[in-house]
Amino acid sequence: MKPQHNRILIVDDDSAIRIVTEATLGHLGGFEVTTAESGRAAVELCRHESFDLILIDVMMPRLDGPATVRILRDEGLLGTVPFAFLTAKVQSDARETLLSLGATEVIAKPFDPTSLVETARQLIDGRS
Amino acid sequence: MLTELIAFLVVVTAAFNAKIIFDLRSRARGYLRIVYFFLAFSSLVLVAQSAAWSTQLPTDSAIHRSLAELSVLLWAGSSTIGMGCSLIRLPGPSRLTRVLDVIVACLGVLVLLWTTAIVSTLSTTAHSKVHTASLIILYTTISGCTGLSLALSRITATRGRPELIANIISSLLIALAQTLFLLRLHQVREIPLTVIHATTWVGLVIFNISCSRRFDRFTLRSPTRRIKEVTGVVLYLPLLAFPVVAVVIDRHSFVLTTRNLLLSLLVVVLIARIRLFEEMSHRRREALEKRISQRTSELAAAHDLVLQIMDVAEDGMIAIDGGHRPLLLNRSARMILQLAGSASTDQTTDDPVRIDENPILEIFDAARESQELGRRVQREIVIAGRSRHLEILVRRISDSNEQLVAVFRDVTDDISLLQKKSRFVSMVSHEIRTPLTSLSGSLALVRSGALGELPLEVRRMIDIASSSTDRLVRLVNDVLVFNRLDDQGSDRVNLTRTDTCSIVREAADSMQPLANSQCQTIEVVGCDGQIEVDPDRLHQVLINLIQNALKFSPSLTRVLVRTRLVDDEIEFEVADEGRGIPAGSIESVFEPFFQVDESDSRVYSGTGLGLAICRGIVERHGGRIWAENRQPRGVSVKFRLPSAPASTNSMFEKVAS
Repeated sequence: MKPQHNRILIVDDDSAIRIVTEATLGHLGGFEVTTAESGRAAVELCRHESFDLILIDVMMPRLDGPATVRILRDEGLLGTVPFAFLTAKVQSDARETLLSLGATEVIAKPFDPTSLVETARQLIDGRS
Repeated sequence: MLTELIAFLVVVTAAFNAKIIFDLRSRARGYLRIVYFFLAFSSLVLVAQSAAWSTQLPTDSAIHRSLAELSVLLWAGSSTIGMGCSLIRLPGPSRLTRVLDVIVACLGVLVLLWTTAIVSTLSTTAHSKVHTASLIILYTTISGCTGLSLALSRITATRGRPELIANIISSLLIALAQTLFLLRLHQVREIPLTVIHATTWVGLVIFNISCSRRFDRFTLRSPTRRIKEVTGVVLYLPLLAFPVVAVVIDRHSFVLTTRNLLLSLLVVVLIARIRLFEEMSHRRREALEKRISQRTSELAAAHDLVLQIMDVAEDGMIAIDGGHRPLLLNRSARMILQLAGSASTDQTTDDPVRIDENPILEIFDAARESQELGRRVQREIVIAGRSRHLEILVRRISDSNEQLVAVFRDVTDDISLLQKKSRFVSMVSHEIRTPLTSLSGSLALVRSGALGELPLEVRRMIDIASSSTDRLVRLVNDVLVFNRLDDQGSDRVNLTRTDTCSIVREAADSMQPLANSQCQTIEVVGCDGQIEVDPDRLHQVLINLIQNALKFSPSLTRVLVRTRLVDDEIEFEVADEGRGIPAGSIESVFEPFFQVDESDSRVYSGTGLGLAICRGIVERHGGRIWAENRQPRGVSVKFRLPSAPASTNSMFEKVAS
């Protein structure tokens, strides 16, 4: 029997990023990857499914990353699920702000596929 | 006795008059010189006459009588010509007066001709009554015409009126005295000599006063000078007592006459001396005053020019003294600081602009206390409720005093423009990152082989695309870092006390894999001490420098990373054994996108921003960075940062131990 794959949710408004990240984590990491193209879609997904890791983009139209995280937390959908922000902003102060929201990690874009897989694995292992 | 005294006074006064008139003559120009000559001459005649007749008048000798007549006529002629000519020279208001002036002058000439006639008949002893009468008539006519002409021509003139009246009275008095003298001479009436002399003297004194007034107008302007003049004359008055005593002792007429003359001349010479001295010192002082006033006005003009230039300047300028009073405040300063009050640039006036409340004072105080004197700094101050950025340079005006001058400009607009530019660059870079993420991600995925094996040719192309993408990512990252360093204020360094040694070792260790791959070694020498820096930034500087050193050096060489204390600074040095930098480019290597050799950018695939970022970071820490070529080969890049203060250093060590 196939071992239970860890489930990762990727939230990003950029479809190319979604596809590449999904392929990377799926092919290289062997994760089961679900994607959402907006904060709203992510919240909707989380209501019905559970994930082991959420990677969420900071800058998204209408509902951005931090706001989405807040909704998930308010609705009790987040629980102990680790989440990491994906961001193009690399300044240290921006990083601090994001970490203060409860994020386990802030992953700077562009990221190296191999190290992304490793980071994802560490985040999931750290939880369990 | 009284007669002799009065006669002596006449001699002195007349001589004095002559002197004054001669003085006036020396000042006068052209025609007036002749006028004054005749007037002076007539006074001298009076001197001689009075001196001669100051003793008992010998009337029995015809020669004596003729001489007496001669003197009267000479006086009348010359004074009439003088008066007449001066009147012609200054024509009166009506035709009648002008005609009279000419008549007076002609009469004077006539009298002089008459005098010549008398001289030619000097030996003639017979003097008829007709002769006497004609003399008297002639004389009365002359004096009458002179007085009338003077009265008519000038009596209506308001200017110089008292002077003219004095002239008329004196002329009439002297003329009267001369007439009386003639009457006595020709024994028509036995008139006392005292009366004649007294009349003459009063006339002369009045004339003297009026002349002195005119003379004063030439030379003496201030009241104090006038007082000096009077006292000068008064000082010599005691001299007059001397001839009086002499007269009492020796009554011999000839001796008396001679002595009187000599004494009078002595007095006149003395007075003339005083006048000359006064005159010279006055002229000297006048010239000095003129020069002073000229210099003063020149200085004032130069001062005004400087002030005007300062007002034209676009930079604001304020000078203050130790008590925060403005000394100088130009137009731009008033506009930038929104200062109301005196619009004058020169503030050393009674009503200077008050700057007590102005935030510029804080900048002055801060500059005085800190090391900012003489350094151009940027300060943000609130003026009239609006925040403004000033670029300001405060200097002492001179070494010894508390006076400061600030030169500043409002750079608020420049800064907001820079910030806009910086925000734009930052935005563009971020926007580029998103597609770069998927680009590099997908390329990496393809290269990993997870999507299947690739044909060799395809793999080569993918490798090129991948390395180019990596380079693009580095470039975008460096642009972002550089942009933040370039953008004043938005990016601050977080100073933390750090161990120099660990930070250097960390950087060297992280570059070790690159060194190994190129068969190079990294040697860390002498690091110790504490430093207050932003550790991440210092790490980045060291990484950039070591990476550069490795990149531009051949295999089997050594990169030296040395740290040492120089004065109060810590000097870091990264030295390689590469090919060095051409001398002309050694200053430029820290410029953004600078490449020593254009082909380098392809061979070494740098972003061109590494050293520029290093300089930005070092300067943010208040340090400086430079490069020098080493002997026999290689480059050494050095930078110095202020070390942490010694006292806290030792305290830190104590706590640590």
